[in-house]
Amino acid sequence: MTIEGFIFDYAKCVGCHACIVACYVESKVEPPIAWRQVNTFNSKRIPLAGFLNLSLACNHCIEAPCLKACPAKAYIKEEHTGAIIHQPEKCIGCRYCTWACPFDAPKYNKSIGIVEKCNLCNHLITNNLKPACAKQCPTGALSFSLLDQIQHSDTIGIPTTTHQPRIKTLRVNVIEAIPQLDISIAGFERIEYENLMITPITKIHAKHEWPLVFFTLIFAFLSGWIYAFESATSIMLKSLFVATSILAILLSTFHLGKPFRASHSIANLKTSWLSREILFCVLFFSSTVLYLFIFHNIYILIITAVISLSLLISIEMVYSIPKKNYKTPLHSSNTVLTALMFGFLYSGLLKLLVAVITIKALLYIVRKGNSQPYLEPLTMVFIFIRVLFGLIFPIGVISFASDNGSLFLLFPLLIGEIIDRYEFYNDIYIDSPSKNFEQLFKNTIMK
Amino acid sequence: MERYVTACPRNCYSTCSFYVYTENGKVINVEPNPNFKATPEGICLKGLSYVERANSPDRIIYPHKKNSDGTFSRITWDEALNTIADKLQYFKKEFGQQSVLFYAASGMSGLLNDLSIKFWREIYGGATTVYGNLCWPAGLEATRLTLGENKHNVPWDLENAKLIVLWGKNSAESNIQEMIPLGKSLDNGGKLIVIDPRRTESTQRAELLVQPLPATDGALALSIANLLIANDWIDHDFISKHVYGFEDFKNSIQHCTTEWASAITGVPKDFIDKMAWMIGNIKPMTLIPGYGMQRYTNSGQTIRCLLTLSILTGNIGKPGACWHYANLQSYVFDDLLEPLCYYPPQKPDGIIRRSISTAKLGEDMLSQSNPPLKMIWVERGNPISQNPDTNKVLKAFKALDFRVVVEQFFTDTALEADIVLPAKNMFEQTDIIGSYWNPYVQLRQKVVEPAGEVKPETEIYYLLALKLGFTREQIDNILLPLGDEAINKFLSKKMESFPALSIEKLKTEPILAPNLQDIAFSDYNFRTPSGKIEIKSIEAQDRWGVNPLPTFEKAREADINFNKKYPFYLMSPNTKNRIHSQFNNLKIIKMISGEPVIQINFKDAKGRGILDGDLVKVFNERGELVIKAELTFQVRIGCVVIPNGWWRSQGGAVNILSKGRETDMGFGSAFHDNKVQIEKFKL
Repeated sequence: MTIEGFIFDYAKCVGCHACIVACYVESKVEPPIAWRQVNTFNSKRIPLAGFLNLSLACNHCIEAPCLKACPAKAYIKEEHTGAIIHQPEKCIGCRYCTWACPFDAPKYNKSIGIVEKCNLCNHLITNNLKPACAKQCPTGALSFSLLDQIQHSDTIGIPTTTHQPRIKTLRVNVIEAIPQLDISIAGFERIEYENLMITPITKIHAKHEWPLVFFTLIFAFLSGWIYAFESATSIMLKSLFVATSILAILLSTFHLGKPFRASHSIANLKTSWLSREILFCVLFFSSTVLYLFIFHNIYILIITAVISLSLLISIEMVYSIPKKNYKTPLHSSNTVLTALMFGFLYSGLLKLLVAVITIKALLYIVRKGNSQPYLEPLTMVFIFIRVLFGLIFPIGVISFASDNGSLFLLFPLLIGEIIDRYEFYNDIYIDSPSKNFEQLFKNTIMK
Repeated sequence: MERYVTACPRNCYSTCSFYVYTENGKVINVEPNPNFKATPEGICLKGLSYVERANSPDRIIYPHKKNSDGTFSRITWDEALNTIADKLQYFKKEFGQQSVLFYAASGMSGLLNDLSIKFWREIYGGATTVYGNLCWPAGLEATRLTLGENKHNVPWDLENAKLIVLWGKNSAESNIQEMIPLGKSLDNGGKLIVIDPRRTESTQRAELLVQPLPATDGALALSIANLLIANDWIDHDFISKHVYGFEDFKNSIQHCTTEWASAITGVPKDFIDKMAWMIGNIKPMTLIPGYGMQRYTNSGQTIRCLLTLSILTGNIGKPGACWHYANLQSYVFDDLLEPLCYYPPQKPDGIIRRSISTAKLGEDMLSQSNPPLKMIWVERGNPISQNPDTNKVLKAFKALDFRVVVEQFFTDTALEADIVLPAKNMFEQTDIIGSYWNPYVQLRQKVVEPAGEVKPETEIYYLLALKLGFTREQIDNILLPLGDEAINKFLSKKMESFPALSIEKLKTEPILAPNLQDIAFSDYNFRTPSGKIEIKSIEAQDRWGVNPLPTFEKAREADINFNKKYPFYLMSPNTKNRIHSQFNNLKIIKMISGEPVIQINFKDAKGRGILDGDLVKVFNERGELVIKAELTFQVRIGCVVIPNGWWRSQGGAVNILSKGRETDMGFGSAFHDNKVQIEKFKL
């Protein structure tokens, strides 16, 4: 192996933070943003368990996930250093790279609306010098040199990936070096372990992702709603359809740090599902306008159907990066399912509609059961409303009501879907060192 | 871009050598000096933060005066010096020179610091100043009484130890580079015992963690000594050749059983047994006592007790075998070494009145009479947050008529000044520094011109002397002429008697101290009255009124009456993020160390309904602090922790709670002997 990378020795790191200051001095990045961070496992020092520190910045993966995921091609791989470089002028602040990276390397800088990241001190290593963090580590725990192997196997704080991070860790077994100490002096009793866990950084949280909740949901809805339109449908309703798509697109730009650079987001169709999603989104908009106002024929409708399926698949693929708290391959707020549901509703295929809403409701219950070992009261309420409005009520209406007016079903279904989609964002997470620590904590200490 | 070798002048074990880069008269980067054997891999986060510190917009680079509304305004040097000179002349005339208190602390080390007192003595004609020290005199004196002098093996010898005992020292934070040889020792099969109420970062690879109550270490050591003797795990040959007072000591500790020690320290008996076995059977052993332990009322005797473990097992004067307390071998220029230089003169000279105890600064300032104090001049120190009993120190400051503080930043003490003069930083004047851990003589080079209107203290005193009516010729003879050349001459003259040392050589590399003993006491020459290691010390009894033998004495606040009202020992250790009260005003350090917290054990917090993140009132009869709680198992039950060095203005000046008391020997400050009560804070 002739590639250089970081070598980190867990047994030498004392968590002194010099690497962070070294990075600050060299990169001049302003606090509170820091490109490097020191993670501590068992910082509360629970007796009968070891502790360790892990200093991480970007590992400049050979198969860099940030670079593949970025829709704006803001990342490049520098030829001679292999450094993965983030170009601030191209970044649109979508934060998708922060989802793609399991090492928590790209840092979103709210004050300037874009991401920042370690550049491997490429100006230094070009001149055969070491990155500042490695050069300045006062105990020699962090160094930079030729790697004889790349970290493949799981080690504490570094999730197993296929990205080939340029880091090798040494002596992770220091975690087993637990000093003999008296646990009663240490104040240890069987207490609630959950309180002792350091909550991992949660990069996806429903309450921060509401633009995405509505963006994805609206396009699933529109993909079904389009079947309700006939050439004679009122211009008002047609305009409402178009206005809704525009609203959804605007909503998605809300979530960008640099909304005015939104057009850059289709720069990476080759590898980024996010780019593809945006492209199909624009195509969907165009073909629906065409269908509604100009050529109201079956051919355009078929083209629209194909585009909408591509769009929804792209949306689903965007969410293939986060890890899931549930185990089913399909989840209840899958946008294709949602689109089918509204499609059947507007096409009057009520038996199929009953089938889809039943499947969705069941998938939802399974997902909630999977993702939470015990259900909190608020979740119970959500489940109740979701099932009532998204399953029982619609089926009741379909079975007993003579008039199957679509509007009568639409609102309960929408309420169920909003809850479901919103909750979905709490059932997915991004792998990170702190998440890895949490899992280790659950697997070792809590047992 | 230019590169210089320099050395960090902070009051810190490591005293790193490092390279500093400058460009256009500014410090732009720092880098490790790989040739420096003590810190070859690099310097700590504070050293790295010098790049920010040297260029910080918050730095004071002009003289300032305090306005009536409490704010500060920039003034000219002329105005500042005229004001000060007028005040000095007035106080001299009305009350005498000794109404002026000159206070300097450990903010920046260097030989030029000695010139300050020369100004007060020979130009102003007198002043009042302090004796004693905040830090480590108890252990220094205990070691001096026992071994004759304070020195230890070179730091890199630690890797030869097979047993390392970190007794109250958290090297991972206070002496990071010590973890390198420590790690090498463990890599080679060495064992580590840590004795500390906290499970610190340094315990990561320890075999045994013993967590006694603070200030009970002497009892722990004596019971181990007793076990060593009872089990015949002692070095008879070493004792008969080199030790004075063994039999008396042996007889005096027969009551020091494990049961006895266990009851005092709270350490289970089997831990004491295991510790004794390891100390008695694993050789060579290096015992490293920390400095936090020096700040209790019983510290001198405690350290004498600890010393017996190294002595009984013959772990002195050999590779890997060492009493690793303080290494003063690089202080080759000092006529009088610590701790003796801390002591007040036996006969006052009538010029410099050394009548104020550093430990009791506030109380003693207030009680001075004939003349009472009217003015204070502070340099290199921040006594308001750092000396015991902050409220009393503050009261004493406010009682004065006039206060001058020479500072780089607006610290708690600077904020109390009438005139603030801008202080040089380490890059703006050349000086020579030693270290109390590594054995190098180092040059702290001038690498940039002083920022703004900053003047080094040597120049400030020079200009002030002019204002006091002295001629340049007169001043040149007492102080130094202005300019860098005079500084170099002064330092060169200091080095005259050491052929190995010169400014030119030191500019390229730090130099090992002349006559350095790599393995301290390898000649078995002990400069004590008996010429032997003195477990029994008559001088200890004569000078300090303590038992001539090492004994366990209860610390003042371990008393039962304190326990009821104030059940928690408040520990105030140093952190890696600061040197005392320096650094935490910098942006990058603030990011890492955001706000003061008090660490409380989960079990102690539970009984008081305190949750993680709650505001907690910490109080005793000296004062109170309201501070955020961090629940943890890092600290044992019965102790709480607030690291020292937070400013009052940052909300965590821990000395608001401490008491000004002296240690049993050495004129140290027993401000860690500090008990508090905690309760959930309610508005």
